[in-house]
Amino acid sequence: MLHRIVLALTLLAATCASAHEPSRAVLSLSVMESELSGRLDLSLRDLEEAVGLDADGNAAITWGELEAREPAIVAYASPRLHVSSAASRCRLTIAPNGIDTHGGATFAVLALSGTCESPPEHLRIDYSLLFDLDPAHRAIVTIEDAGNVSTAVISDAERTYTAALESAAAWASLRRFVVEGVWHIWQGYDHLAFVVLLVLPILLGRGTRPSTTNAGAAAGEILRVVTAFTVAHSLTLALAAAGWVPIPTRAVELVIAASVLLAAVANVAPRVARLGPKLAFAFGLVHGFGFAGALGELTAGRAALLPTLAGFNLGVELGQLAVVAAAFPLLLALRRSSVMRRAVTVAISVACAALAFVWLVERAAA
Amino acid sequence: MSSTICSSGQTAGRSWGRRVGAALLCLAATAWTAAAPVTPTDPQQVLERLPLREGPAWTAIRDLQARLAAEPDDARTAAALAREYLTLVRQTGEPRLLAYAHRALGRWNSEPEPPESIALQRALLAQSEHHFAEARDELTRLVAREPGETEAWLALAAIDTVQGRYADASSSCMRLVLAADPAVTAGCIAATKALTREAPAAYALLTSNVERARASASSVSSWLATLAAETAASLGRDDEARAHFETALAASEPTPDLYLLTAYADFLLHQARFGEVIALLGGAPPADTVLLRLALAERRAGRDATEHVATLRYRLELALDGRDVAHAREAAFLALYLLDEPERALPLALANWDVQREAIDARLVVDAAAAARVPAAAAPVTDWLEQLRTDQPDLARRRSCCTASF
Repeated sequence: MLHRIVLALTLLAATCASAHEPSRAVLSLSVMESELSGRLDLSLRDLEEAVGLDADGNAAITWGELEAREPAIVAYASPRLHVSSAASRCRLTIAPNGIDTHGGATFAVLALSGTCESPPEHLRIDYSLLFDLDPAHRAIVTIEDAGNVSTAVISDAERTYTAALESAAAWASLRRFVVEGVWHIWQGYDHLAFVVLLVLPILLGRGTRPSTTNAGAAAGEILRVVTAFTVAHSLTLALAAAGWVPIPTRAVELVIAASVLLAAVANVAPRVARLGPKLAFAFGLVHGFGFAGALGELTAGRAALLPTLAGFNLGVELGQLAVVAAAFPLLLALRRSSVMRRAVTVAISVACAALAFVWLVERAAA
Repeated sequence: MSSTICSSGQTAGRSWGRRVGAALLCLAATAWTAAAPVTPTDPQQVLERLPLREGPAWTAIRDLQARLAAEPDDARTAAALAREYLTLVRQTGEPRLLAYAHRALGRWNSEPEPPESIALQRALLAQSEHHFAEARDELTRLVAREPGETEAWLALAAIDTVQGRYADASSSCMRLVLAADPAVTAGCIAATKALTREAPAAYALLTSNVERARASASSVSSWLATLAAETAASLGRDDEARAHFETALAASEPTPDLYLLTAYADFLLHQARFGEVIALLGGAPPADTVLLRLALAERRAGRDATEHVATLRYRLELALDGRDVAHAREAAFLALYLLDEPERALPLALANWDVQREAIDARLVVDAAAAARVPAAAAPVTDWLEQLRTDQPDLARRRSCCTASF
């Protein structure tokens, strides 16, 4: 009897096991659209319990011993770690990838890579490693999604964690596509040329006729023309991106080149056509299909429509606006000299016409 | 518990301390993932050393493991195995041993009324993990079934003492009178009075029993001497306290339990004997409770404590964040005395105070509140101490036991 009492005695001192070398795993995943990549770090002490590493039983685990058990580690981890999204299961591949240290302990690193059937809006992690061996085991989970990091702790009681990626993904693609939109306007010389040709005559006049409007009125007119162009290309961009209207790619390319040529000619010889809001709108419709083609190449049909479309369109507008804002004071300054006015209009228009002609021929031949 | 702690927009309504904690956990988590893994080239390179599983305790454990493997339903063997692990836990603080104990008892996991030996070990395991409510439920059911289960009464008394339910604890101790060593009963009762105005009487009871228990088993005399030392320290009798600690240490060689070591270290820290703390804990197992005192002594002695603090920060990360209440005491200690973050320590110390009410727990709250310049936040503790010690002439001095900083 006394023996039993004695054994219980130290309990009165209420000693508690400290968190001394806690059983921890570190799981990190980063999500890029429907691609997953990351790593799972498992401590060698835990792996010794789970799969046995110390082959020679000398209480020291060598790299050779670990390497020999790598297939067993992968076989242990694979059925106990699953990633899925709300709509689809994601396939995860686990491969050994060396070692690392955390808090003075050595961990085996497993590289994770995978794909989901569609870009996940929620990512659910099901983790059930080691809990059968140590109920106090914890996995520290980090999910990175376009720079947004969320962290959670998975425990025996709570073996799943679901990270909401929706807002993060939408925001990230919005940002990404704004940038893409700006790039597209700056790199797609045909759109740029068309916008410049729209603005040019308002400030510098058409043909031999000088512009009589003052700066304020000119700004108003620019606004009307550019808005007409914008509304039109937003409309067709949305229709095409949503898949409601098919994109006649080749025809679109040709008409865009033709639109630039026509705008250039109109600036030099105003009797051919008058480049007002109506024409800007009409060609805007065509340019919108052109944007949609470019956007389609970027997304390959995988990304969420709304943030993509909104971002890309916003980017196109910003790019356009930047061009107009840069050109406006320059052209305003040129207005003072009638010789310069005429020279610049002709020079730019002829250059654009020449370029447009080349595009037209190229695109017709392609 | 799994929940998002880094995502923006989810921090509203969370306390400042928790937010800081969450931010730090995020930082740590990102820091972890930042390092690139390496692939060693030498197959002979040693990557990790496992704890040596040698000595008489491990021989006994292997024997029990073999017997349990042969007869997995043998409750007595399983309980004996769990008991061996728990004994080692008290000496080493190694949490993996708790996992082993869980596994030994795993066969009875889903049984609400397992054999008594299993129920007892399961309760003691829960107590070791600071799952006090769970442990108390199990013990209460056990003594209802088997009122002669002395050890269960003793464990109940231990939990109630730690949580400050002294009347309940005392009545559990009284159940030991006829069944156990009188010195054990005396210690059980004295422990319930160590923080109350009856402390001097408790101390007298302990000193007389320390003498008597010299002939008893070493763990009984070591335990009584530890209790006597702590009570003497709280009464301001420092020389006597020191002598009792030394007696306890001598009686418990060669494997002093961690509670004794840390209690003695706290006493020495209080007396600014930092070199002695370092000598005392230098050879002890690197449990959190040990490293906390060691790091504090190193720091106060002007030595480099960076490595110990880094280890503690890693181990107690979840507790610092408020996600592991079982280690709130250690986390509060770390934040307050070693990280100099009293604002972070205070909520941890208060959360711990809801669970544990020993002298160190009171001291953590009072110190954290003072350092965070919100002394009123310590009211739950000071009021409670006041209530325990009314009519006490030397209240001011006595209070120093629990509220004076290291």
